[in-house]
Amino acid sequence: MQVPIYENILKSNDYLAEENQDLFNRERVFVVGILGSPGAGKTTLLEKTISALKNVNLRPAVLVGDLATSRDAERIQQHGIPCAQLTTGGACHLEAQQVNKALKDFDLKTIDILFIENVGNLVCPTGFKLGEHIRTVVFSIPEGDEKVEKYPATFQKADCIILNKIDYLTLQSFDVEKPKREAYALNPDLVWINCSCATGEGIEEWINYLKTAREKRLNENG
Amino acid sequence: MHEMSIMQSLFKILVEKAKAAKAQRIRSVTLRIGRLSGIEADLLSTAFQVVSKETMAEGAELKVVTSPFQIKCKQCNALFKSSDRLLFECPECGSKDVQVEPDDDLMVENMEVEIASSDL
Repeated sequence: MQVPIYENILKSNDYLAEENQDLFNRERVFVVGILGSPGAGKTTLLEKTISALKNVNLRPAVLVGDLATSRDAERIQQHGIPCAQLTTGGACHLEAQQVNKALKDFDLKTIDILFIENVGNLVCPTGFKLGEHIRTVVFSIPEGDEKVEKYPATFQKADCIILNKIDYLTLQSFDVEKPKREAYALNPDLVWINCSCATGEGIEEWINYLKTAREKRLNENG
Repeated sequence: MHEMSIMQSLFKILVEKAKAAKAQRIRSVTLRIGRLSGIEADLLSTAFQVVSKETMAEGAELKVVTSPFQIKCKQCNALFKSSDRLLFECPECGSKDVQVEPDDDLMVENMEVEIASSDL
């Protein structure tokens, strides 16, 4: 006998992600998912972002996912902001339920923007919503200009793409227009930012993007 | 390997539906996996074999339906498909100004089950 089902396989994760987002909306916390390959500069970008957000009187917090270590969380904690570590024990991505459990470590009323730094991986985290309002994918010049072509699923779901370490352009051949064009073919609504945490290029644009996206979301939620 | 996690989610759905249908055994399961879902169909089959061991789905066939990438040229409006790699260039006019369909389905469509004759 055939049993029709027609259900999203990840519906239980999607449901928990929606619950997380409802909570964020009630507490007026804007949540940004950060994805990227290992070594793309996710944590360094967050360190720069924390300082810049403090300057515009926004209170950041960070939830860090890592396979096994707390190195990234230790780096973030030095900035004196709320930060919690989620060690996945070798699992390659975060899921909504883990994020929900980790939220008990935060007083959401004291947070304006929460960053969820996923495990460094351009494949596995893609299909797992966490409740974030926007998703940013970080990749960098040393990784080569074929990343979008090789991992289209991840880049298609990005609201913002940060091409990091743009100062390395002087050291190697990298066609910036190629991945950018491919990313827009996958998602015409995305925001693309060339960035260097070393020179500070693009950081202001990134902060302005975050501020605008946050205000838009807060207005939508009333 | 996130395919294992996806399989565990799939199994929750299958067991629930199989119980509701009073099924004794699951013979086959059909999934529809979009090309931009970030899932490898081959790895899903391996994960299915592992997760289905000693369950009512042990030995069941996993059918994975995928569609080719669908791309539209924004210059000449040609629609084209690609079943292996994603093309970012129009084969008709050569333009690189294209739009890729966001095919990120991750669906379980149906399953074939056996029901005890006393329940029919």
